[in-house]
Amino acid sequence: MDLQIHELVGANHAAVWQPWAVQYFFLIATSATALFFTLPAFVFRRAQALPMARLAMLTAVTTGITAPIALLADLHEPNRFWHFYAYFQPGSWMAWGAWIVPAFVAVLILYAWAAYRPQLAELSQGDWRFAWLFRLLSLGGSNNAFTPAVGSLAALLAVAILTYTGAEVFVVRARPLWNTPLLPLQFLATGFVASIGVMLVLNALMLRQRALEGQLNRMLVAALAVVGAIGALWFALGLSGLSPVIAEALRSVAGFPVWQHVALWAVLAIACPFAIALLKPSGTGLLTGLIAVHAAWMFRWTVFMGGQSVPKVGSGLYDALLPRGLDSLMGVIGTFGLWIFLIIAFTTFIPWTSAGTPERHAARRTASQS
Amino acid sequence: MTSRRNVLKGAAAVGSLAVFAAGYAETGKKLVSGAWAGEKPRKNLTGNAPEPEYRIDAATGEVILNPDQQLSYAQCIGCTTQCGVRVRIDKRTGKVLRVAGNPYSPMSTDPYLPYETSVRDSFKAMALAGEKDGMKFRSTACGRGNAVLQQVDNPRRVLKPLKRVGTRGSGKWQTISFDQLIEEVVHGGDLFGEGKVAGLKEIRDLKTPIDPQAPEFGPRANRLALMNCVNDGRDGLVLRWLKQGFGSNNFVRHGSYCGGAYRSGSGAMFGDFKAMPHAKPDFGEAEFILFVGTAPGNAGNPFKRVGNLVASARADGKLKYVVVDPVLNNSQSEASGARVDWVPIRPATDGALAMALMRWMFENDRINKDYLAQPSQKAAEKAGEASWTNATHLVVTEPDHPRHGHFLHASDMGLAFAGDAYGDGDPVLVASDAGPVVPDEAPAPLFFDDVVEPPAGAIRVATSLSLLRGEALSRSMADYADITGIPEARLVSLATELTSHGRKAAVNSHGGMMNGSGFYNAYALMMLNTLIGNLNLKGGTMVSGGWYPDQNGPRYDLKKFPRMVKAKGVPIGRNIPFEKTSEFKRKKAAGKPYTAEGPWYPNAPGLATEWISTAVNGYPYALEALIFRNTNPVYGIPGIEHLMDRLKDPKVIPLIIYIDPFINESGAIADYIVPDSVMYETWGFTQPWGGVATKATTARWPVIPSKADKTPDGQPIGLESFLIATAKAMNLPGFGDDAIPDADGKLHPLNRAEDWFLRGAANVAYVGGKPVDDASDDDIALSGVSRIADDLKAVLTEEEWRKAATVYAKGGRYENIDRSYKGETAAHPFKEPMLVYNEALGTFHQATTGRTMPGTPAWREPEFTNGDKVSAHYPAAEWPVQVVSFKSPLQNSYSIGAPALRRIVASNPAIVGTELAARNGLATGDRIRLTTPGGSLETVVVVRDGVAPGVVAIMHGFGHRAFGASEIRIDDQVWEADEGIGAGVLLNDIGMLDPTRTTNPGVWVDPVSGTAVRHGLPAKLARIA
Repeated sequence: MDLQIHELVGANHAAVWQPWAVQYFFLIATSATALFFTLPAFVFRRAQALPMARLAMLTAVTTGITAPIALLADLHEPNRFWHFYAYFQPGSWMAWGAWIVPAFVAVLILYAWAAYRPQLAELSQGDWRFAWLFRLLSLGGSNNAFTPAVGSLAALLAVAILTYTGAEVFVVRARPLWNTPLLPLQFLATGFVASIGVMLVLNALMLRQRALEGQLNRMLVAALAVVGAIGALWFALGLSGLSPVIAEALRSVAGFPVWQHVALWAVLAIACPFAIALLKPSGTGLLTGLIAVHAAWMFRWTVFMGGQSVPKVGSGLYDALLPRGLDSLMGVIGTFGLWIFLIIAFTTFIPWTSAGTPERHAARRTASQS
Repeated sequence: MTSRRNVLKGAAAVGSLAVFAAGYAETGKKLVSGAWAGEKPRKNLTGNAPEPEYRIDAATGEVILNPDQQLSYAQCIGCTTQCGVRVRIDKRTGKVLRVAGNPYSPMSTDPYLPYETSVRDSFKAMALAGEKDGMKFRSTACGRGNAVLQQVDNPRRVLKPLKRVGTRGSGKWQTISFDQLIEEVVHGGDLFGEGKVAGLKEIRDLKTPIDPQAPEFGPRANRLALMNCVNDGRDGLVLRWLKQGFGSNNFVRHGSYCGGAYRSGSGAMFGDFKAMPHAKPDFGEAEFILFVGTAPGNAGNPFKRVGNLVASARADGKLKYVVVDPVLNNSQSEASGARVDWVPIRPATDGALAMALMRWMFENDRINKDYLAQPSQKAAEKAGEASWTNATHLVVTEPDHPRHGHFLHASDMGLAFAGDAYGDGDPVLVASDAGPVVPDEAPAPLFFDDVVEPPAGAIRVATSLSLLRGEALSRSMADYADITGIPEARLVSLATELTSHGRKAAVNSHGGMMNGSGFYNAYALMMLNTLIGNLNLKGGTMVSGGWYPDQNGPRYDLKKFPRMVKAKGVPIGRNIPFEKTSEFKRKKAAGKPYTAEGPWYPNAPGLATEWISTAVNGYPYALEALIFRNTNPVYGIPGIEHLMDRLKDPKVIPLIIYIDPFINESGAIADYIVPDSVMYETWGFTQPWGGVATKATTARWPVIPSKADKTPDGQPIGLESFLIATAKAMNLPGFGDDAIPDADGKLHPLNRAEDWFLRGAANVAYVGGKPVDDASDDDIALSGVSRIADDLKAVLTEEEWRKAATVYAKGGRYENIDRSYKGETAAHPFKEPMLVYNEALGTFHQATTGRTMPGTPAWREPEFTNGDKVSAHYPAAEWPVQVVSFKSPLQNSYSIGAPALRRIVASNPAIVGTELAARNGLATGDRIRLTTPGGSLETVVVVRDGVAPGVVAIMHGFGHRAFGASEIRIDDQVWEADEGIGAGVLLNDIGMLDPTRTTNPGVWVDPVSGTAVRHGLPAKLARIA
């Protein structure tokens, strides 16, 4: 007879990673990938890339600040986060993450500050009510020639973020759904889908720039193509049995109608924005952006909550895949609330649409000295 | 920026912040609560686990007690095994923290401690420090035992007497006082606004016959009946109240819908259809055991001990075993390799398996001829046998002869005899070359089947063994293979294995016999033990070593008392010969003797199954009052659903009283609920059912006080206080101030539970010649017996109380393990002969048909009461599936209320074999509708290997409607339904009525043992979307 495992004694485990974790992974990936779209303008000083860079910076900063707060909420004992620092575990990706995340967020904010310093300085001029605030914010200067250096560091840390977030899930051998090198890659690819999607939505709501929309939609097509390719590869490896882990993962969920629906949903969430963005890149930004954001978010929900619904030992599914009422979704909604607040604050207090490429003083000084 | 836009932005900002605050409120709370959110465990590593109850000082070896905890040796009643356990109590809260084993008790420990060990030394023994010694006296409770202590604090526990409001079964109750309860049940009246209900006092009429035309029914008092579950050590008082006090002869336990068919089949061989003795394999010493329809360690009490012994024996000892069952269960152990095997069998065909093995043994000369040939106790002793059989005794087989089916006696042959013909002085004969002779102390011929010449004319006779061989040879091995679904070669290999270990082999069975041919199946399986001659032998089979009884002891007579009543009359289970009834005499006179209005079961004990038929039909007579005490036939009897409308009709049974701490399915149809104590709050003395070779009495005593309300005189409301109060209200003998005689005849009071149980403890302490040692002050303090020390001193004499205290301090009285064997034989052997031919069975005429049945084991296809084959009514072509039941290792029928267990075993999807699943296009997780002639149910399936073809298996213990599965209302309080308690399905819901019982309907039972049928129900299944 084939080897079959039937549990005689089973225990129902509540999901340990809660919806906040989904939010964290969504937001941090959005932030880290969005950061790359700021580099052409703010690191390489390409002026024509400025519209996208401004949008990307807004996206990266707001999601970047919200993400660790979501992460904190996912800790069941949030006040014990300092244990990460007091008891360092070099063998744990999560422990490394405790250093990478604050570093990334700090450098990201520094980077954004640098990029907008001239504008902040500008607002500190004159005799208006909040000039003092902007004097404080600009630290009384306008030099931002160091922006490319900070941006490069931020990019390095973004790579670290994407590496650690992918790896800490990938290493869980007990969960075949997670334990595949394709997972970090798919996190990366869907991260780009998310950040492009967010920028499409923000553009549609605030800037309404057709050229930018077309550009973003084309990028979205590329990102979705990669996502689709990775998904297809995963499925092929599982179906063919070439990867035993993926085959096991596929087996663990294939029989359940709810997972069949999830798979169908996933295919549609990729195919629909792909087709729309490809065929009609203009005027569809809000739609493709929203679907893209939803696709990236849904992917993470499925991976984390769905992954936890598959028992490590035992049969059937735990009750984790579908949200249970408003309570379990309040974390998700609350996180979005914070994010929207940050977007409003950012766009209200910072002249974000007027940022230029960084000054070249530093470079000139270096040149004159040589 | 326009101001309108600013306002919008501001509003959006405030709104999103508010959403953020709402979403993070919980996080905020956690942050504010400090370094630990929520409850902070006391210890970093061990969390909230209780502190150790004691420690052993490594240097001195002394016991260092934890002053905050009490450790007491008590008894678990989480199942019928009733293990001796140790209970840890938090002295500050009075709560039971944990339960583990009692190292003195064979039920929890092997080897167990010598009884002389002081309580302090028993603590040391459980924590020995030397290499490999740590586990030496390890003493455990099982998973269920650990979980069901939650029942004490179960919020659905009833603490005050309840009376129904509205119709029976409506789930509406009102609390009443204890006095009102006693007043109403004793004196009756218009209790529910439905007309007058007779009270117990009126029903207790010892003079008026129930039916003047049938005086054998006895007096009206018999119209009160009491249903019990299992003897949890409190039945002595119940029986005193019911039989000797009230005068009703109607008392029954749950055996007939539990494992009764096995016990009846065993009883046929052991020669006692009422007590139904049974032997168990000597698990630790046997070399081969064939388990049929039972799962060692999982089913077949004592679970934990058997599991422990079998696990050790298959790993470290010499045991090989095969489990024959339609369903592969967890007694199979891959780790034991070839030592353990599973053989699938078609449900209800175990008798064919046994007869096949017998056929092979007869044909291949593998029966134990030296053993079987001994015709008497003396011959056996001379031959050095540990038991003997009636294999050589001659049976009259002449058709139509008046003595057909009876043994051939000296008087039949005109030989000398003393006293009455067929009396004790008229011996049974054996064959010889010179014709039938009185056996002497030599072996007699095993086989004889011929005509003999008594003075009255030639008649045909045969030895018991010849008759058995005839049954075994009546079918070919190919037939048996065909019937059982076990290949012929496997049947042969099983027979070979069984007969290859001399007498160190055994056959064991239990609940798997509950089918339409269960009695004969069980009798046949047990006969295999007799054919290899393993009874009373080390490595063979042994009966329970017995116990130290609490009632008929040397100090107090709890069995007899002045003015006691001798209950008499036909019990409503109809378990007496039909020939003794007036109905038979009337019908015989009319020329139709065997046309009874319903079946009778002379070869069976009291039958709860048949009680239901009697209760709803009034045949042979109707009931006026029914007491359910800690029992649940409404859940447990397959097919009872069809009779429920009548069972709960107050016109059918006017008064139903229910004594139990929880409202189960049977309690749900009661008129009054008497709350009871739970688990560690109760008293009692029990003995192991078997599997223990030494004498053992487990003592249960309230190591914590009952949470139930108190009676006006301060006793906890419960079984004992209810019985005593009603007895006094009716002025029943045996209760009150002058109730219990001591050895000198002086009378002592019975006014509260302690009066009864503590005197029982004195008997346990003194019985058997040498009393136990006095408990030292240290024993009393360490075991928590100090809690009842004042009661002990008040009830018992100065001489007695410390001895009784020893019984409680050590959780009972246990004979030392070195008394298990005398040489190679059991120290407490079974002394009566094994019946290869059972005369009572062979001469039994079925009341409704007059048909007779074989007096030896035989293969009988499952049948209904009138002899119709089940397959004739429900052919396989139309009913291709057979449904069977199996036991959970953790859940039983009354454990569902413990949330800790539900977290582990939450439901019971139907188990479907891969073959049947493929045939019906089923996959794990699909829903099916399973239909039998008795009804249908819908459930989820799990598809797996390890199920015999065509079988669907349903685990017992789920599909509850009560215990909290349905909403009830008490006064103005609603106890909401909990769907977790109602999870899963109950096989009994698709149990069947017997379609051939047309006059007085009853559930389908085995025609001899009257036991319920839950294996091999004909069924069909359909996948539902």
